[in-house]
Amino acid sequence: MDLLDNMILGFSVAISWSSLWACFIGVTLGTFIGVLPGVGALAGISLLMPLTFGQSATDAIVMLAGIYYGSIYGGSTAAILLNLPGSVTSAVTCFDGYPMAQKGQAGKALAMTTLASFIGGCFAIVLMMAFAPPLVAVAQSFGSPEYFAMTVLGLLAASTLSQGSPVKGIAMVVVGLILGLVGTDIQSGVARFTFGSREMLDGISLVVLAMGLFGVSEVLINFTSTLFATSRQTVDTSWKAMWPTGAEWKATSGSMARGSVLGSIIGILPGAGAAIAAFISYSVEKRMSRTPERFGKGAIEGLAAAETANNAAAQAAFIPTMSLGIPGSATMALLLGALLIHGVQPGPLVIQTDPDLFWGLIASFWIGNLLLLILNLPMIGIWVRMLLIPYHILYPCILFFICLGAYSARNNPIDIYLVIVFGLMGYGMKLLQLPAAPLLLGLVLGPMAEEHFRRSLLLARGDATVFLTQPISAGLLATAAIIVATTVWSSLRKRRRALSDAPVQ
Amino acid sequence: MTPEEERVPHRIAGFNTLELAAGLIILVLGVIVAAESLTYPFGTLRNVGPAIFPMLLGIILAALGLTIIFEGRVSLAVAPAVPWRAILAICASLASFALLIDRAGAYVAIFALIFLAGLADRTFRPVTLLIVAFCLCAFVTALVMGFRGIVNIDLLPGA
Repeated sequence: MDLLDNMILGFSVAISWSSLWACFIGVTLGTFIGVLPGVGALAGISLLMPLTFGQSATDAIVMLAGIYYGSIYGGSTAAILLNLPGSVTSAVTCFDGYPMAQKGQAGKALAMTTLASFIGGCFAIVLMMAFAPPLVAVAQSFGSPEYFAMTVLGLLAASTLSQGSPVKGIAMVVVGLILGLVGTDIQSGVARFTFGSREMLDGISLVVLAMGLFGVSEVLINFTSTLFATSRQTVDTSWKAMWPTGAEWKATSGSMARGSVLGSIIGILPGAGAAIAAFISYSVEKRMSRTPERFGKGAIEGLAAAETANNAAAQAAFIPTMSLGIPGSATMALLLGALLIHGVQPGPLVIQTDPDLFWGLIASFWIGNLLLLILNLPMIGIWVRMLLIPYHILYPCILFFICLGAYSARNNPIDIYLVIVFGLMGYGMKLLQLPAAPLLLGLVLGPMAEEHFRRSLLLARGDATVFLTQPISAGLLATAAIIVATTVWSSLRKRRRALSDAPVQ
Repeated sequence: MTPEEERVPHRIAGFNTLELAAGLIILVLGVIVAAESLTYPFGTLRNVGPAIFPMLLGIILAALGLTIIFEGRVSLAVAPAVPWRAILAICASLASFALLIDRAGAYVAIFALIFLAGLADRTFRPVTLLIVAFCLCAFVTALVMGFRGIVNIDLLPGA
């Protein structure tokens, strides 16, 4: 059996000492980052990316992926105990997790989220094992026009589905695409947008941009929030208090099944992501429940639904990223960027050129999820204590790691100055409510999009209609056009409604 | 209405100032990109030169900037309070590290980084900062010793 052979290959890679170590470090650091309020998965991965430069491509991606899904596991801890989501993905976990903690069931809530996360994660991995190969087979028949169309659709979907103004999202994708063009044009050798600077010839470093946009600006933003106030909670971490009873298993099994399916589907879609998956799955549970009034007051089903969904979505997001090379979120774009840095060209060919990397990563998901179960159930007490680290100790350390990471990549202090510039830019964008995540997506996909655009025209002998005469590319672009049309329509409608409301004010 | 919502957004000629600023920045950026791309070779439609793609992006960006300005007419966005002190302190802290790392080595750079960063907080905590700085110095020492050849950072000036 093909799948079996592949999984044997995968596990032979993932069980090697270096990969096991990478996976362990990844999920541990991930949980740590997730637990700490005010340090999200994005900031964490950009901070820790330089750590992987000395490793092999497989170990690097195993570790970075571990940080990502580990942070989603860990994010629920702060949500339950402090009512502060450790990362955006666990915002929904606050709804029922915190009330449970207030009722003295913090241990149970923490155990439930860990189990639910595990179940959701496992479901999505099975899905990835089943669906990635056929998806790759389809994608391998794609030519440049299809790739270009798919990139356009992916970018548009990712930027318009996220929160806030979709027009701003698209604008930020375009800014990212432009930033991705900075440097020497590979085909003609012309230096673009370098404005005479030699330092810019290599282009804008993904690590430096991400550290500024997500690391420094996050620290700045936290100074306006209430992070400096931390509260203390005691948690009964005895096995008896934590392990769900038979009745609780029965109450949550349906929610967990629905959460897994919903989360996986939403995770595959570009742009939606784990936070939205959790939210949708939570509202579905609330609507289906016979006692919806319990939701928000410590309903264990709501907690389970949200946690299975966000972990399933986090894991399912790897499906389009690894099989098509199209990341659905900024975190996935960072992971793709890391692959590029390691000389692996992401896309459907990865499964053939680097099968050990592809299947090794999937096998590492199993190991990582198992490690997380061990890390989070018996050792929950340690993570709870981590929450007591005050932010005034944390942020100088974050700044130090930013400097260390940015500097050690090339031993050039100019990278730190660039981090400052991008950090200020990120903060300015936050003030103007311009989303940063689409920018990163654009930066990673920019060079690829241009290459496919130019190659399509070259192969079609300058016939610009090639994008519309090929059925697949035409279909993808038509979908993109529909997204743009509905975006414009809904924004216009919103404006008209707001204008008609105006006199009432 | 909560106190948050009662803050009236600042407007210039009916446009929300924040959205106007965002849109204008995007618009100007698009125009600059499109103008700059004119200086690159255009090539032919068959063999597209380096100018075409950025020019298209620049034009799209300028159009999006205009859209944001008009969309922002009804926006209720209000400028949040800006923590100027923290921004200044943190930028100075990062810049001091960049300035000192090659000249004075990691130890000096870490102390400058940590103490300048500490100024961002309203209560200055010299003892805490001292402990943090010492811990990080120990960490860097371990890193440099443990990963000889991979991590090349000078710990002391002129080393």
